[in-house]
Amino acid sequence: MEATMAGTAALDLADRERALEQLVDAYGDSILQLAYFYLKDRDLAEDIFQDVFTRVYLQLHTFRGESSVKTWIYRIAVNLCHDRLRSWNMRRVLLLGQDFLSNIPLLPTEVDAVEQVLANADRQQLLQKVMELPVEYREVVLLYYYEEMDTREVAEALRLSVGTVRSRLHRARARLKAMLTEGGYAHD
Amino acid sequence: MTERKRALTDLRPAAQETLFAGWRVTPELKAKLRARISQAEAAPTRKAPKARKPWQRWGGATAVAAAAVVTLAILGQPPVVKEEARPAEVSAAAVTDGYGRSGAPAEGLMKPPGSAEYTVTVMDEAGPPLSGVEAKGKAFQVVTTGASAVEFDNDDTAVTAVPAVEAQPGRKIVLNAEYQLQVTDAVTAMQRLQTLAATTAGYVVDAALNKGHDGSWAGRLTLRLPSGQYNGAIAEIRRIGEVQQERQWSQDVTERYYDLEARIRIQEEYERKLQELAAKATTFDDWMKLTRQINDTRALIEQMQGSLKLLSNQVEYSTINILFTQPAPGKEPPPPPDEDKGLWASMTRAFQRSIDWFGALGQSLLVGAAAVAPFLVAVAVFGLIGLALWRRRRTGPSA
Repeated sequence: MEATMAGTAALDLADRERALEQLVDAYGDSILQLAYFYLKDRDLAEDIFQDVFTRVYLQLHTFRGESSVKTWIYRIAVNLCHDRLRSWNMRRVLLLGQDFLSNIPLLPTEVDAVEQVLANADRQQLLQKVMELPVEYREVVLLYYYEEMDTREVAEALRLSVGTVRSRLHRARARLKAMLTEGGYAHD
Repeated sequence: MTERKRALTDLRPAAQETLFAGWRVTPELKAKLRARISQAEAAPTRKAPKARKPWQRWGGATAVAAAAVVTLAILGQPPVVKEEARPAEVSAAAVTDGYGRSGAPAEGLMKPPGSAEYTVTVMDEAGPPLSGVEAKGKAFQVVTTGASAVEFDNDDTAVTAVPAVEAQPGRKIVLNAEYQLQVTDAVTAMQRLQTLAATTAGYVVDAALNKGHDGSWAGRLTLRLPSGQYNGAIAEIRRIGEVQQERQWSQDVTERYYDLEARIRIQEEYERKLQELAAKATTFDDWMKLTRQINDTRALIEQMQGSLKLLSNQVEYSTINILFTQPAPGKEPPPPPDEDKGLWASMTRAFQRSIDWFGALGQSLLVGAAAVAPFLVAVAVFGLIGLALWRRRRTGPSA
């Protein structure tokens, strides 16, 4: 599906109804899941899903094709999720899950050890720990690993530089390692 | 894919197994999206209101709250729509025990077999229930499930038995009631209500009992009882305490119920045909399209089945909310709301409330002053010391 959706050629922008249908079929589930990863609530995620595709429908004519449709839709979703997270109610919720780990400096030689820990971690535990990451790290991990975007696409979706994305990925992995080690999942 | 990437992409199956199991874009969600788009298209484009500063928001809210408090204090509490206490018994000419709505045959009446005693509560379509036969200015007809029906005249008193109308079997009625009681012993009342749930094969959805600082009690309970036990339960609830407010209402969901059933049947038939077509599909694209359609249809069927199940449960079990209070010992219960009618009484009451309010305000100010007193003393002491030092320094060189 992505092959046809990556460009706008297969997408009939003149027929908004049909285009919307195609886009919802292609990315609807992913957007739901992405929103859930941000907001950790199904109702809110469904709300974001509706907002995203309403915006897509209304702004389809403004899509210039400078990025892929997928990146464009993801960027809308990410922005809406960020807005929601900034709202007062969500802040109150997030206060409970404040990240307590400080920035961990990571030396290049440590990378192998990190991968070893991550590879050995139980999948469910790993998912749980990813969900506990601060949002700026969680989003890069999810877009890069879960949505399998490359760093350039992640950077476009998040409106960051490629360097920043790489650096955040680097730190996110370090944090995951620290969290998994604390939880007793390290295999020395 | 590198080892690094493999480790974390295991997230996908993990998430699909747990977080997102069975969760996807359903036809219902698509319908919601359509509705939101229509709404967005219909809404005039307008500039977002300029964000106000927090103090502006609080200022407005405080002003509104203060105005509301002052208004309430001066005018007394807002008028409450009250039911007039009416006798619930009707003459034995009528054989009905249930409730109805004005202008339409009552639905789902349940009369204990062989009973000649009954209670009628007539539900006005636009307002609260009218107990007894004194419904003002409207003709009511109540169709019973028994052997006769009752007609209420415009003169509010006449009750006429009319030829029997057979209740239609299979009617689907949701019964609900709300009661506010004043009891002499809240703990016993709670126990009796819980026993009521147990003896009628119902259950308690929610229950809470709180004791106030002054020794008063307040409790609430939500019961779900088999609809066949509804009338008996209502009678028992009335015996538990003095009824202060009462509301009963019903909802006829017969049409919705059977409509859902029919739609499920149609969708199941449609799904079966789609499956036949999918089995015969010759191209991958056709098969894919049909499979997607089958999935959507299945999701719709399951959603409708869920709604039908919920509806059945609502029909089978009536919901009764009960609030009850036990006044503080030695404290006179508040007068019934029907008392003290008239302009003079209202003015007196409003004046009394204003006095109470000002008294409470005075008390609050005194408490506030007591709370800040230590700080004021500390500030005064440091201020005096500072002042003394300053004077000494000023006068020092000249001395």
